[in-house]
Order: sequence, then C-alpha cells, then structure tokens
Amino acid sequence: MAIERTIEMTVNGSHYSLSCEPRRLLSEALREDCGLTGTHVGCEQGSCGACTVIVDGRAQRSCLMLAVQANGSSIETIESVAAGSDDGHPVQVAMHLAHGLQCGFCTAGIVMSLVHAYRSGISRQNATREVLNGHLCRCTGYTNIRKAIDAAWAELEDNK
Amino acid sequence: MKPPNFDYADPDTLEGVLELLAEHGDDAAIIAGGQSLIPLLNLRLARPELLIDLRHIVDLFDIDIDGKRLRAGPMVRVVDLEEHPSVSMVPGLESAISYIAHSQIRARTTVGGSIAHADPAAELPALLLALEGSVVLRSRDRGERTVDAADFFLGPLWTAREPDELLTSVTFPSHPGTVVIDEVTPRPGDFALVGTVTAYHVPARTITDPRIVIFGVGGTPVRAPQAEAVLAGAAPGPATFAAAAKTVYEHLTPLGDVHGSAEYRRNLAAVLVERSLVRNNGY
Repeated sequence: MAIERTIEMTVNGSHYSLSCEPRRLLSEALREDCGLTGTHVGCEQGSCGACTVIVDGRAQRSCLMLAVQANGSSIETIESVAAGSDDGHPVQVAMHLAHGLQCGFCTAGIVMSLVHAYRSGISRQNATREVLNGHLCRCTGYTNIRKAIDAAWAELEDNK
Repeated sequence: MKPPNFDYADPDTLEGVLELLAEHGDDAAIIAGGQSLIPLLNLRLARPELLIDLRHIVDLFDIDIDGKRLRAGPMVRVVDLEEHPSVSMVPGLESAISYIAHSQIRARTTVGGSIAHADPAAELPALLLALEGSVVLRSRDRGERTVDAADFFLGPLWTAREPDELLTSVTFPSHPGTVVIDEVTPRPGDFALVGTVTAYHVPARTITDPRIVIFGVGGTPVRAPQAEAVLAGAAPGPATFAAAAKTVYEHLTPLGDVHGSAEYRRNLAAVLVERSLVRNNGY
C-alpha cells in the first residue's frame, strides 16, 4: 500500500479533510468518503460522462481525476444544484418538464455539464451539440434532453 | 476498474521532477491532465510505480503566442488555448482543438500530455508535424535539447523522450497560408479513423509551403512528401489537388483494424486530402 495523503477540498460549500491512497479516483472519494452518491460512475474511462462534476468552475470527469489532484479544489456535485431555489435549477426544471430522463443513471452528469454551460453563457447550439456530445444516454435517444435544453435556454435568452 | 497501486509525488520545482525522473526512469509516469493516462491506469494497461504530478510547477503553464509561433508549456490545458484571444494567430490550431474529444475532456487535457502521449490518431501531434514544430526535453544529467516533431514521434505511444527526460515546452510555428484539418470518426469526439492536416500558401499564382500529414493510419502521424512535391510550384486547382490526392493513395500504407481496413483508410486519406485542398483554396 502506498502512503495515504491528506486531501483538503471544498465540496458543495462544505470543507472535507480526507485521507486517501494516491490511486483513489475523485469519483470514489466523492461517493465513498464524502457520502455523495448522486455522482454516478459508468465506464471509468472518460467515455460516458455519468461522473461529470464541476471542478474549480469547469465541468470535468471525476473518474479521470485522482482525489490527490483535487487537493485544494472546490467541487460542485449534483447534490448542490437545487440549493437556494424551491423548484430546483432551471436545467433541472426543464429536464423534469421535458421528461429528459428515463432510468436516470446518466442524468446527474448531464445536469452538471448543462449547469456549467448555462452559467458560462454557452449558446443553445453548443449546449446541444458540443456539451451533450460528451455524454452517453442509453434510454432517451436524446430527443427529450434536447427539448429540455431548448426550454432552459429559451428562458435564459428571454431573461437577457 | 480501479487504478493499480502507485506512489505519488507532486514536487514544487522542475528540479524536483527531474531528480525523481533521474532516479526512477521508466518506473515513473508523468501526469499532466491525466485524460489519457488515467483511463490507462483504470484499465490497468499502465502500472507505474510512481506518478509524478506537474500541477504545482507554475512555469509549465505558460502560453507564449505571437504571429510567428505558439510556445506552450506542457501543463497548458487545451481549453486555455481554445479560449485564448490569440489562438487564431497559429493557423490550424483552433480547427485541431475543435476535433479533440469533448469540452469536459478539453477542460483538463493538456498540450504537453497529448504530444508526449503520442497517440497516432491524435490531432495535436499531427498538427505539430505538419507545422514543422518542435519540443524541448530536459533531464537532470544532460540538460536541455530540442527535438523536431519529425524526429520525435517514433511509434504508437512511443517518442524520442528518454526515461529521465521531461517535455518542458512545445512550439507550433505559424504557416504563411491556411491550414485545414479534417477527419472521419465513428462518432464526434472519437479518435479519428483517418485524419488529415493540409496546408499551402499561394503568394503569386503557384503553391509554396505545401504540407500534408495523415494521422490514424499507423504508428505515428505521417507526412506525404511525394504528394507535397506534386503541389509545390503548381497552380492551385482541381487537377493539381486530384493529382496530389492520387499520390497520397499510391504511397500510403496504412494499418487496418476492426474499425476500418487498410484499403478503406488509404482511400479515405486520399478523399480527405483532396477535399481539404479544395476547401483550403476557398471554394
């Protein structure tokens, strides 16, 4: 066993101090050490996007990052997305109303990527083509996810 | 799967990294963005004893860009170039970046990592070769040396970097004309079945500085000197471009695999070269 490292990170605004082996993936640390099991793990090779979280302001794969690399980072997971709102984040509301999910396994990752895109002012076309491109969904055929993006971004464009 | 067991070091200085590389050599792996290395660890295709993380070495994050070239430290993330106001000063760079994986990967993957990893189907190594770029390698015992892209890529995931060396910068020179990148992938964001980088300049009626690089067809990106010779000094136009594409077809010896036979890739390379040359001409 390699020597464990102490990792200090902020997850959803709370401070965590963890002791981890270097080989521990960020996705595992979030799920098993922080108890935040909303982040799902699919392929563990960066293809599926289920484990996407926001690290220091950017949507990234938590399975392609070691927990030790997140030392000092600020992380947002699906558990934080609805904070400060009665109904949920506009992306969540749109996913709900447009029925943008079926089994729900891929949903947390998709929502995190879309929350980042929404916040960054990425265009509707890029959210649909480029951001959604980084996620695999085996149920929906993407049609209703695209409808959810259209609905969330229509609201965003109206508010400008 | 989960990564195998390894030790981890995150030195604060370049000297610290070179010291560890001198001591551990091939038993150590360098981690920059980790977007290729961590999948290999998760699949247990890589089993380093020691992982050396470059994340604290601020000098390795520099972007130096002007009209003549881009020099990037190995820790420059692709997204940082993508969002850089001067990215268009190096023709072909924006286009190459647009083909790299997905935004979630580009947020973390690095320029140096892509070049040092040397995936034969990756875009940045092919662009580096086409632009006649170079890398700087540094070791504790032998200091610095500059290696041209043409001498750097030796095979799949295999480069001229010695086990005790660190890639400390990558230089993409500019090109006087335009650079077009095109590729065919099973799905957007996948590695290319075949990709091409083509460039040429027409200062006065005839072509100068022709470059044709094909990637995804063997162990490394490859230049097509015979096809470049067809372009050099010729007038740009459909007949010249068709002749260059035919020459690519005649000289290319791609490897086939389950995703595409050698003959399919050879044909595809010629099609992409011709299409790119036409696009490059402003049609």
